[in-house]
Amino acid sequence: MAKELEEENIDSSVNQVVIESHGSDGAITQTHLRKLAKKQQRKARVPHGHEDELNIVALLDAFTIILVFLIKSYAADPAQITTSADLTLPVSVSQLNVVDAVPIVITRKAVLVNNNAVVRMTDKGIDPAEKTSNPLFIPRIHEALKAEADHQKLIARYNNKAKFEGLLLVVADKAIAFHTLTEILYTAGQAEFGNFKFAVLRND
Amino acid sequence: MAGGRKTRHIHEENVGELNLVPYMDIVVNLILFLMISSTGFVHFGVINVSAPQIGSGEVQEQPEEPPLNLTIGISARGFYIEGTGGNLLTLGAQNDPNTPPSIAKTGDTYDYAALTKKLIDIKTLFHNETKVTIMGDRDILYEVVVKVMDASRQDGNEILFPDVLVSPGFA
Repeated sequence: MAKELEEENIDSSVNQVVIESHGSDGAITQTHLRKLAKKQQRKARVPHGHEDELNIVALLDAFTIILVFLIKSYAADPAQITTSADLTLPVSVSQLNVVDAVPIVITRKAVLVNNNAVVRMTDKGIDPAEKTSNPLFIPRIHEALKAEADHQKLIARYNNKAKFEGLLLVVADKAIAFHTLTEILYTAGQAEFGNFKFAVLRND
Repeated sequence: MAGGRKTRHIHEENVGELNLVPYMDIVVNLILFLMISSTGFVHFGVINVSAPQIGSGEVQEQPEEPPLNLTIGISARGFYIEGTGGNLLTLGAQNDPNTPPSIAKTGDTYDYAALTKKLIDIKTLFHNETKVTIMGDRDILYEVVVKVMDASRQDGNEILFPDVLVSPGFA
């Protein structure tokens, strides 16, 4: 309010100056022009503290909500399966969702139990050096799965809700031979894993 | 002195403002990262498979109807379908050129549609049966096994044999 009054006073004084600066013949003088310019500048000056900035608070609000939603859906996924050149899942019409289970990943180069490489693969299947007299049994895979089973049983002992169900998530490359699959399933059966979930790509 | 007070007032106002630009930068980068790596772009599913139970040690009740023991054998020549205790190993069907497969390959591709059609016919005779055992040649690809499971599980909305067992079969 004080500033508005001040501007009005300036305007009125400028107007007075304009009247006074007109010569006897009414011509506009340089002084008059300077004062007009100053007046325009004062009007064009942005009030103190006010800046024409983009208000990003609303945008940030929306982005934060989207971020929270994405983090929540990302963390809620029970299995993190990463496909690669060595791991291409087969396509299926199955509509069942992925469940939380001990993962065994069979790629063209290795077999991993719970993301730890256990045995190597060759073009013809599991490295023969890893096998024993029983062609279906693979000791190192059995060892790794047995450790997982014991771990889950230990948890189940103290938590009634986390029962050991012998559930194994098989994530295998589509070019794996059937005999390799049966060897791994047989070995898993020996380690008390009898229920299998074959991970596939959904054909939606 | 009045100018000094005005300067301090302006300085206090600037210190109180929160600069949201770096926060915005981080949030946008995180959102981009999560969206790109989101598993929502690729849908994963699972197929339930069981291993054959060998001697559970418990006395089981005899079912009213004898089990079908439906078995699908996958060989390089096609599919062999057996039931009611048919033993594929003794038949040696996969190695005997005189025994043709139940559903032969069409060229180099397996005929999954014909397999489903055959299983629909079996299902009409055995309404209550839900189990199927799948076995195959050593070198049959995992992809073929999954497709056989799909063909035997359902046909559209009609459920066929959803309980799948995988058995090491042919030597």
